[in-house]
Amino acid sequence: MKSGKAILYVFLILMVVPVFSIIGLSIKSNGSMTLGWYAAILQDENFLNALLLSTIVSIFTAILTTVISFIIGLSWFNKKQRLIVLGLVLLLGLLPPEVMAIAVSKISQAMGIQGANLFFLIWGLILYCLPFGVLIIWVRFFFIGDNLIYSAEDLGLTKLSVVLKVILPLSSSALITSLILSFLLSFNEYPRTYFLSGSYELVSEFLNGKLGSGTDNSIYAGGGIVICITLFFTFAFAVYQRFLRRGIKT
Amino acid sequence: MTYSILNKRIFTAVSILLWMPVFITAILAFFQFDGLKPTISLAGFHDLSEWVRIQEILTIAIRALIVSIVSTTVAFFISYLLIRLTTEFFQSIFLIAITLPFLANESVRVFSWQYLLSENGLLNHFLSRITLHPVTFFNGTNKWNIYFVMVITTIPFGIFLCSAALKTISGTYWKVADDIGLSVTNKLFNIILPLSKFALIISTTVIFFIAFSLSSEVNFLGGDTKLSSRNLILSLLSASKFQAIFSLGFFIMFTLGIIMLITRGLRLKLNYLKK
Repeated sequence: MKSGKAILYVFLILMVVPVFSIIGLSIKSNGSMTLGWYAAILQDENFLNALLLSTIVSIFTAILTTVISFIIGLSWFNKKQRLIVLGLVLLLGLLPPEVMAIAVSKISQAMGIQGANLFFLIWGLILYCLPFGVLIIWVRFFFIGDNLIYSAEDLGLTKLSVVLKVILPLSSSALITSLILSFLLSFNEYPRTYFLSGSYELVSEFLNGKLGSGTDNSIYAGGGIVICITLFFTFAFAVYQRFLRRGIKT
Repeated sequence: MTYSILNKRIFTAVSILLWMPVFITAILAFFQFDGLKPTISLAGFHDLSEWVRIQEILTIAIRALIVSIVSTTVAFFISYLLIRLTTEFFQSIFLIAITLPFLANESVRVFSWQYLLSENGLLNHFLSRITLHPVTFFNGTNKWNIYFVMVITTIPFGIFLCSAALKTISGTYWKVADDIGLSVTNKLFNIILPLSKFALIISTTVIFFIAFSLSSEVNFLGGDTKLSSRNLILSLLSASKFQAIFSLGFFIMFTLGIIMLITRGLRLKLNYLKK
C-alpha cells in the first residue's frame, strides 16, 4: 500500500515539476540568482502587448465557449442524437489543429475578410475549447433531475425563467469550470494562433519563436510569467472546488 | 436532465455555424472551386498517396499508436492505484495537478523538457552529482525523448477516462474480491480489466488522435527527426497543396468515424452477451 502511494507521489512529481524548470532558468544569471530577467521582459513592449492581446482574446473565447456549451446543453437530446453530437464535438478536439485553422482561414478568404483576423482567431479557439466546455456542462446537466424542472413549470415559470432561476444556479460550478478551462486552453494555445492571428502576435507565438531561437534569458522569465498565470488559475480553481464541496457538505 | 429546454432549430443554427470548418474540410477534400462552380477532384488524395507522403503519415501514425498504448497502460495502472489507495480529497487534488502540464503553454512545457533532457541538462547534471562522474545518459536529440514527452503529455487524458471508469465499478465487486481472497493480480485481470474494457478502448483512441497532432515535441526534441503532422501540413502548404491538407483532415475524420462505429458495435455486442 505504501509503495503504491509512493508511486503516485513520484508520478505527480514527474508530471508537475518539469514544467517549473523554466522558472529555475529564469532566475539564473552567471551562477547567481536574480529577478533581473523578469524586470527585462516586463519592459519589453512586444511581450506586454502580446500578453494583453492574449488575455483579451482568451477572455472572449472563454465567455463565448461557455455560452455556446450552455446552449448546446439546453437542447438535450435522446440517446442516439447525443452520440452523434458527442461525435461531432470530439471531432473538433481530435482533428489536427492545423487542418481546422486552415479551414477557418479558408472561410475568411471566401468571405473576403482579411483584416478582422481576431474574429476568426476567436472562432478557431472556440472550436478547440468547445469539446471540454460541452462535456463539463453535459456532465453537470446529467445530475439535474427532470422533476425539478417539471415542478418549476407547474409553479408557473416560463422556459426562460426555468433556465435563469433553476438551471443556471445549479450549473454555476460547471460554468465556472468551463470558463477557467477555456481561458487557460486558449491563452496557451499555439498552433491555431500561429495560423489564424495574421499580423497580430499572441503570447504563445512570441514564446515559441523566442524559445526556439534562444535569444536571451529574459524569454525564460516570459515563460515563467505564463506558467505563473496558469498556476494561479489552476490553484484558484482547486480552492473554489474545495470550498464548493465544503459548502455542499454543510 | 433529459428535458429539452431550447428549440432544436437554435441548436441547429449554432451547430452549422460552429462546425462549418469541419464541413468545409470534408467538401474541399473532394471538390475544387473555380469561382463558385465546384468540380469533383481527388487530387488531394492523389498527392497524399505519393510514397514519401505515405511514409511520413505512417511514421507519425505508428509513433502515435505506440504513445497511445504506452500512455493508456500507464494511465490505467496509475488510475487503479489512485482509486484504490487514496481518499477523495487526494484524488481531486491529484487530478487537478496533472492537468497542469496539459494546460501549460505548449512551447514552455516542451522547452522545459528539452532543458531537463539535454546533454548539459538538469538530469545529467543531477546524475553526475550523485555518481561523482560525468554522465551523458540523456541526450537532447534522442528520438526516445519525443516518445517520453508525448506519453507524459497525453497521460492525463488516459487517467481521466480510466479513473472515471474505475470509479463507476460497484463497491460490491471490490468487497467480494477481497472476501474470496483474490490476489491483486487476479483482481486486476479477472474483474477490473474486463469491466474497464470500454474505457481502455476510448482512452487509446483519444490519445492516438491527440498524439498524431502533437508537433512541438518533435520540433524541440527531435534533433534531425522532423516528421510531425504540423511539418507535414506546412510542407503541403508551402507547395500550395491545400486539397491534400483537407484530404488528410477528411481521412482522419473517416478513421475516427469508423473507430467510433466499431466501438459502438462492440458495446452493443457486449450488452447483448450480458443479457
